[in-house]
Amino acid sequence: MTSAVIIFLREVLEAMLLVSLLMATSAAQGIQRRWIIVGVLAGLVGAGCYAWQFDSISDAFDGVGQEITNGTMLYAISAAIMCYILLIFIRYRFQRHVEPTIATSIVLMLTITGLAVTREGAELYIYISGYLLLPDQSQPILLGGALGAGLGLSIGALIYFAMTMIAPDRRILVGGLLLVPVAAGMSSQATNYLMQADIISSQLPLWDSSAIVQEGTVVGELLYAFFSYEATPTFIQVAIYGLCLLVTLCGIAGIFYFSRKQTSGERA
Amino acid sequence: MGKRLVTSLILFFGHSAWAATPEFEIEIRDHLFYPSELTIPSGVKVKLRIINSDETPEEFESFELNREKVILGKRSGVVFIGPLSTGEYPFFGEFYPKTAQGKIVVVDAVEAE
Repeated sequence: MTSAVIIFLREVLEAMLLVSLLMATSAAQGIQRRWIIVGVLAGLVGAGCYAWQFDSISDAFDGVGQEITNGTMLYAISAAIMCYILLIFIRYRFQRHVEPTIATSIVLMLTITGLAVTREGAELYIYISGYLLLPDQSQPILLGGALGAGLGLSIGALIYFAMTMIAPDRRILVGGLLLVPVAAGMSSQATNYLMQADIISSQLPLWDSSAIVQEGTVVGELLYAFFSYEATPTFIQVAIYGLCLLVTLCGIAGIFYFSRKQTSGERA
Repeated sequence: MGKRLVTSLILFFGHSAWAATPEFEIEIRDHLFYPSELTIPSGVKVKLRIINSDETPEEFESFELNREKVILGKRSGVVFIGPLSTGEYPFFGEFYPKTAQGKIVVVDAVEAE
């Protein structure tokens, strides 16, 4: 039962962290929350399909179809988050100057939520399906799963409500910046999947910080959720992470620079 | 001169494809890993074939190796690990962590032989 609580908590929390940050930042822009229902439902359908076709997907590409699928989804989520961050900063800085780009924001949020729920959901679905084969063990697993999922949802809700206490303008800034390492981390995780599949050559780790924070501990899991923390990352992972941070932060800086220039231009 | 060029070209382009990646097998049976301790050489990439003989799915996971892969019941899967430096790298079955525990022991290439 304990392992069911942990697995569900971990997977649900990972998806909920993203969802709560998206909800908080989109609400600050006056986007209604209805998109979340569509996104989660699409994700659940996606998870069902992924789990249903899991056998043939795993066998594809010489047995590394799972890694390719997960990697592609993670790269897509990462790219969509980066676009979303830049978009909310454009809207934030040019409020009076550009047409609202609500539709694009909603499409990006649906993509992120749908893919995140598909990924995490499929694993949980497979996990549960295994225990359903063992009738005497399935009840504690379902109970533990419900408990873990409930915990994950509560923490997500807590993050969302904590964020809504921040004034909308500032919330966009805080939420947008919090999403930057999440996006970078997902690209790094995707790269790790490609190394697991030997599509990208793996190397010796760049460092080992397991003496400071071990993965799998509570702190490690929290750092993983926000920063995709790994104690022993390889150079390529760190490089991809850094590149994503750099691109997004430069984009944000550019938006601030041009919006300031435009405002001062108008004043003159 | 020509021969040397051909040889170096083969060495350069053929290196990864020609140098056979050592392959090891780990079986999952009754939610246990067999062997639960696997010794591999350091500094080289290794192909792990994980065979799940149980009816139930399992996830091969290791924080130390940064690897995770779901293997359905009665199926097998491939995971590439390494190059690694010498040491111990625990792994576990995320779906049945109470029993499914094991470790990869990485030793100097000479010792492994």
